[in-house]
Amino acid sequence: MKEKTVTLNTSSSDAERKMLSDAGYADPAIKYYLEKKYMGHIENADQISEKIGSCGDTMKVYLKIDDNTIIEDVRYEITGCAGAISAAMAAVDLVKGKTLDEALLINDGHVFKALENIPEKKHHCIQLAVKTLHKGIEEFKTRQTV
Amino acid sequence: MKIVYTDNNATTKVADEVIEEMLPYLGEFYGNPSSMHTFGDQVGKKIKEARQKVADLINADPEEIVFTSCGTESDNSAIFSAIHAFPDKKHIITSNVEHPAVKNLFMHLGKKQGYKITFVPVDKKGILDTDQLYKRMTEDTALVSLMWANNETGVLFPIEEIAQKTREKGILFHTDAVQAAGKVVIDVKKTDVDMLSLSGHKIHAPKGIGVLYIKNGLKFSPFLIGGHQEKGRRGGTENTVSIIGMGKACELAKKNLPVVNTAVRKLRDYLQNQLLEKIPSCSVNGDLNLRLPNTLSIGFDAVEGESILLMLDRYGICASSGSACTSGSLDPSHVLMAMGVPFKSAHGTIRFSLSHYNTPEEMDHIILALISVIEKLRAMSPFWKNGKLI
Repeated sequence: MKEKTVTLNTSSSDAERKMLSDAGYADPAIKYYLEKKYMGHIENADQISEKIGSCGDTMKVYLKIDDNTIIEDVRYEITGCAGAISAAMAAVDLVKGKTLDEALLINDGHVFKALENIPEKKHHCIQLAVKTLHKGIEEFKTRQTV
Repeated sequence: MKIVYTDNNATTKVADEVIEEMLPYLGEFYGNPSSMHTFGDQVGKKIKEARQKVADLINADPEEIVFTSCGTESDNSAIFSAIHAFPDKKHIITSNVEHPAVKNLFMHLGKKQGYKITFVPVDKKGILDTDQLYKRMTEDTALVSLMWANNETGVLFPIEEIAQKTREKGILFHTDAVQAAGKVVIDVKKTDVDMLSLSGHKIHAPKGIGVLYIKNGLKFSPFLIGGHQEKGRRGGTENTVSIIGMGKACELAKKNLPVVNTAVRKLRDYLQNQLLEKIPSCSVNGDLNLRLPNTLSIGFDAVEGESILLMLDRYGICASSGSACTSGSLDPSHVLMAMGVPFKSAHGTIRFSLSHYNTPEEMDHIILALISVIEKLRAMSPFWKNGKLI
């Protein structure tokens, strides 16, 4: 079969936006998913931690911590669905600039509120985003006290 | 945006010829086929014609064909009838990769009605362990129910051989042939099954119409008890329009069978080989030979299936996924798990299921889109670094 050049329609994410909306994702959650603004890694991160969720989705969190106290930056690498990605991105907005102890007080409810809504079957994705973040903070703190 | 539809094991486009055949019976000819007047009788004659066409697809006699509402009703009717036929037998056998229409009914019968259930395993290629199957058939076994072809991987079970074994042992045998119809030759004169299920919407008929083949002479207890319709084997006024559509769809399926096994197979193989060549760390699920000609289940390491589907949707590509995220539970596809497919591959599995409406250009579109999608998803995966799985 002869290979052909096919023009791919990557310019519009309207269809994806509508599909997510129909599935039960609120606008803020869709924005977080589409922008993926905290996706990736941090060179010279102060802490890297990883967690596997109950569904098998996996997150790796990179933390940049100022003066061993303030969360300066966070990035996630994710093998996961739209629920996982939107939850992780929303969690970053909630903890950037906070102290480690303040960040540990962020819970699933805070992230859900920031997303406004995601489908019920995706609520465990929020848990994974928060647990991965907390794991990173706890492991960083443990290393500081050793 | 043009839609590239490769989710035909989920449902199919209703063929134009089928719509054309149905339309007069949705409008002008609305009579009840059971009525004692010419107006109703002309619909009755059309249903007779449709029954013959369905019978022709599987080489059955028309009186062996019962119209139902869907594949699930056909499966349920067959299984309940079999256990009613042998009320003293309390053991039933199926496989661990069945469609929920059979799997969940078996689990229900085990939990609520005290049946002993055997789920026969498959190997890593999805091939049924027939040694286990034959060993587990006993005098207490009322029924063996096995799918002809798997909906996720397309892997085929040796239905003809199993039918012979069950016949020798005097055990009833039902097969869910919903995915096999129109893709492989089904000949019930040669393959000695007692009951066989079909579904209209998998073969370009509308949703809401199914068929149960019941072998001549088999004692049958109806699932829906009501009027005399379908010779007392399925009560309820006939879904005349859909039955007529089903007849036409079966006629077309018989005609198109060689096309599905040549042109569609060629498209599927092209798609498969190009993806394997151009995308690293991916693998096909299921036996490469004992497989439906239209189905490709392929797992991409280090990515998640639902994300792939969402991004493919941007390109107008419709497929389906075996990931946990898509299943609505926390577990990936029970079929892939039963085959022992590693989680990292099952989680990123996509099923493409083609039809004779697909074109070579569409395959090229999918290949280019998928290369880009997998690359983007792997760029944000914790399992993928510098072009390699870690």
